[in-house]
Amino acid sequence: MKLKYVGKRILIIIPTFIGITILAYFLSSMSPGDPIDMIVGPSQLSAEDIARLRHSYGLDQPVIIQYFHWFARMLQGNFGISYRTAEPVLGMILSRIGPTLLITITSVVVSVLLAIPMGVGAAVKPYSLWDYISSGISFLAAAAPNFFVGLLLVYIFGVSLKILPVSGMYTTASSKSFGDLVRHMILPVAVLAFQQIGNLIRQVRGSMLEVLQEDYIRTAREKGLKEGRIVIRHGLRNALIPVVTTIGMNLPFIVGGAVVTEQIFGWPGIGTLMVQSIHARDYPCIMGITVFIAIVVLIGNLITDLVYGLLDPRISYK
Amino acid sequence: MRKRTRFLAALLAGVMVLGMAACGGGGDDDKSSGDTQAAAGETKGQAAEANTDNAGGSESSGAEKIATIAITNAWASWCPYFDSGNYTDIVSDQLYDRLWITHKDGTVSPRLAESYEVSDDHTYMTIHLNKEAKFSDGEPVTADDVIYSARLDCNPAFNSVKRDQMKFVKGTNEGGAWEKEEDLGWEKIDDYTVKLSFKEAMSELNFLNMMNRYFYVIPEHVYSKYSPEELNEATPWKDNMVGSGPFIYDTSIDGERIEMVKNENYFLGTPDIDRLVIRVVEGSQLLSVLMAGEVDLIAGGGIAAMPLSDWPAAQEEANLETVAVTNYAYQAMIINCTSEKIPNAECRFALNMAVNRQAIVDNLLGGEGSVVYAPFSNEHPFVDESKLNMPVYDPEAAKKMLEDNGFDFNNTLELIVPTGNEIRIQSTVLIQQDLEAIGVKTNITQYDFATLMQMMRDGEYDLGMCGSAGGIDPTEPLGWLGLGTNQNFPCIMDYSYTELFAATNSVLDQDKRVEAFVEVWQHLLDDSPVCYLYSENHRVAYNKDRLSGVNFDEAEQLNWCTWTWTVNE
Repeated sequence: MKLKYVGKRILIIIPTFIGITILAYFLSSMSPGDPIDMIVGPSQLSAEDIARLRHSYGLDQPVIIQYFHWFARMLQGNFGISYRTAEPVLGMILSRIGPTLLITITSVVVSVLLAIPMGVGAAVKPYSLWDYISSGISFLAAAAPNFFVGLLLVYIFGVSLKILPVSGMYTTASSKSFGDLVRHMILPVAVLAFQQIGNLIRQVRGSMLEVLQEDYIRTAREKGLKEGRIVIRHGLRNALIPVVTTIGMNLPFIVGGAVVTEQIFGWPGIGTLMVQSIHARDYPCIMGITVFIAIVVLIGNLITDLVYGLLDPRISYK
Repeated sequence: MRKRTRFLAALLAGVMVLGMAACGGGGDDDKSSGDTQAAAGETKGQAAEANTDNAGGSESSGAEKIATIAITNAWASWCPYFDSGNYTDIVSDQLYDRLWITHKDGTVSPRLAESYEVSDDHTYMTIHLNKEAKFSDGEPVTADDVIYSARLDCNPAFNSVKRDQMKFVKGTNEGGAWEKEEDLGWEKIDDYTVKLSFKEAMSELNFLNMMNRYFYVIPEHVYSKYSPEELNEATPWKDNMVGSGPFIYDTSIDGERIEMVKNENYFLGTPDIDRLVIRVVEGSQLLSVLMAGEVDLIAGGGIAAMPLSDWPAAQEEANLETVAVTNYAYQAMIINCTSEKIPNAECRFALNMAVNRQAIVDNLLGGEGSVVYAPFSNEHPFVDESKLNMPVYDPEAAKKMLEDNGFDFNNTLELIVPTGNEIRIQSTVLIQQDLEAIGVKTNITQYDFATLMQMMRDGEYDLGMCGSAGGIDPTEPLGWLGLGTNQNFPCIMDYSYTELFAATNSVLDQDKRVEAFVEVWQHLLDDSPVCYLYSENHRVAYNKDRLSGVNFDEAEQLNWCTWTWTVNE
């Protein structure tokens, strides 16, 4: 049954994906700004040279033809050549996916690992000191923009204390090591995790408070089960369903947040590539990144749905 | 339950491992020479392998003399001819050689070209190459390589965006592409001598000041195996990084850094820096990374412009050397010559006169810049303000001139400004106030640069803010003024400026050429298609405990001469 459900979802994903590519291609092509302007810059090339460049990039074709050419190539795994760098787009994106996934996924893990105990603690003992601290952190995280948090952390840990690197992935190629990578990851991951943690704490706290009022929790208590077991086995598991939804729904925002964070910390991820590509009107690259983000979000949502079933056996896939 | 937990854990771990693997974390595979690790975004240079091994690789990294330079945008291309931006050029200049070192006064000194002679009639020059120069693979740099580089640059099938300066070479069209390859005015005399013929007699310094900025010599034996069409993609360049510059490509992370090791056999002297790292750092973070010791140098200007608000803090740091370097870059307000709201040259001149440039320099640049009326500051060898009738700030005279010349004060002028440069955006507000003071209404709108460029070229604006890197070449301003050029922002509708600038090329005597430009600038000021505003000093800061021998005062055309820098022990 589950396989059938997955198959159905994939069938829905396909037209959604095609719709996204059509929208993205036509919107970016319609936006003002000519990629040839950005390639040529101040050079005083002849009109003939500029026309040749335009032809070599296929920009002299109607947009609809350009789209079909792009789509046909994309189905074969060829995302075209970047206008800005003349490199194959697929290679450029593959080189940036790893760093982005690394900090985004680590930040999700960190935020979940921190938010769950804080949210559960706050729900188990509402209006306690723990609850106030958790709620305070939650409001602060929701209110503080990540560029501000990023600059603050840079100042504290990089400039004042000088204990953490503030930019890049490694110190130098010769000093490259796992430890060096982890040290460089700490601040960007902290910023991204902080961005997510506010919402998660509130979600965990709210869900737990609700679940802890349920009849089956009262029954469990009356049966004499230990409070810890009740909270974790019976309460938390059910409370996690809306939390998983939140994480799933947040995926696009996490990727979006990574754009700013990558810029601040000079992290060579997909976010910085996207900003550079948009500025340069590098349509093949913009489309490649759009496809990547669309796939991440669509698959992320599918995984979220599947995880529901793992968390709550009452949920069936039809 | 246990099964599900295992599934979740496995899913999470899988994704994490994928991310780590894709980042090359902990990997020691950078010994795999020449491999492009697509998933990691890292490329290890073949040519640098020998040098790295000599240096002992990571084992002896502690002994390496490393210098790290910050840039605020990633280099766009591995080919020195695909991009005309500073970020690519500063990388190319380390890996490849140019023929000369250009100085701020327009003179040149030898680099790959040891010397040159000019024919009596100034129709050709003979260039003698340094016989000691070698590529990083050990092959000598010869006349064949220079000719090959020039022919490739001028080849219409090759997507070079730097060939326009070749338009003065015999056998090229107005954009610098050759018409027939065999007619191109670059000829080999012998292995180390090249003859370069012009279309017509011209000052050789004039040509060198234009061409040398963009002409990099690449090895024929490496790239001639590819067709020009194949070389239109970055892959052959990325896979064969062989140059004769002071540094040799070692490794890179796309969009984050490029690392080079010194060329032990560099013919102008072995660099003292063992490893030169060029890293991309966000503009607002420049001072932080410098203070944190993660970079050693911020070059200012079009490479890494430190926010002006950070400049006092940088000056107060004991271990930092801060230098405000004057230069030929400029900011301007372009006036749409086809706008019906600004009916004639007199009205444009009046608007030009209404702008208080000194207030911009004093209030926004904190004095770290200078007022300009002509395209360049008075420091430029081709500008002599004492001989020019300049539109000095006079709001009353400006208002009267507008009234006398049919300007309709009921119109609101659309003033557009690109996002990004904060000082330029703030200067737009000051200009709006200046214009308001004489009764001219403006509406400011910000656009991203690509949109702004298209709007200006299409004439969909009245006043538009823009900047240029300028340079020692006095014909550089023609880029905005020539009918048919890609950046004809004022929408000039005739060839008057093209002809005016072209006439200066035939003046062979340097002093007379300077005089000829007085006429050009005066015409430009009277016609006022562009209101030149200010030149901002490059705010250079470097860690003086780490670096010595850094001299940016003469660094025109990105001639940093990094092989002369030393890293303090």
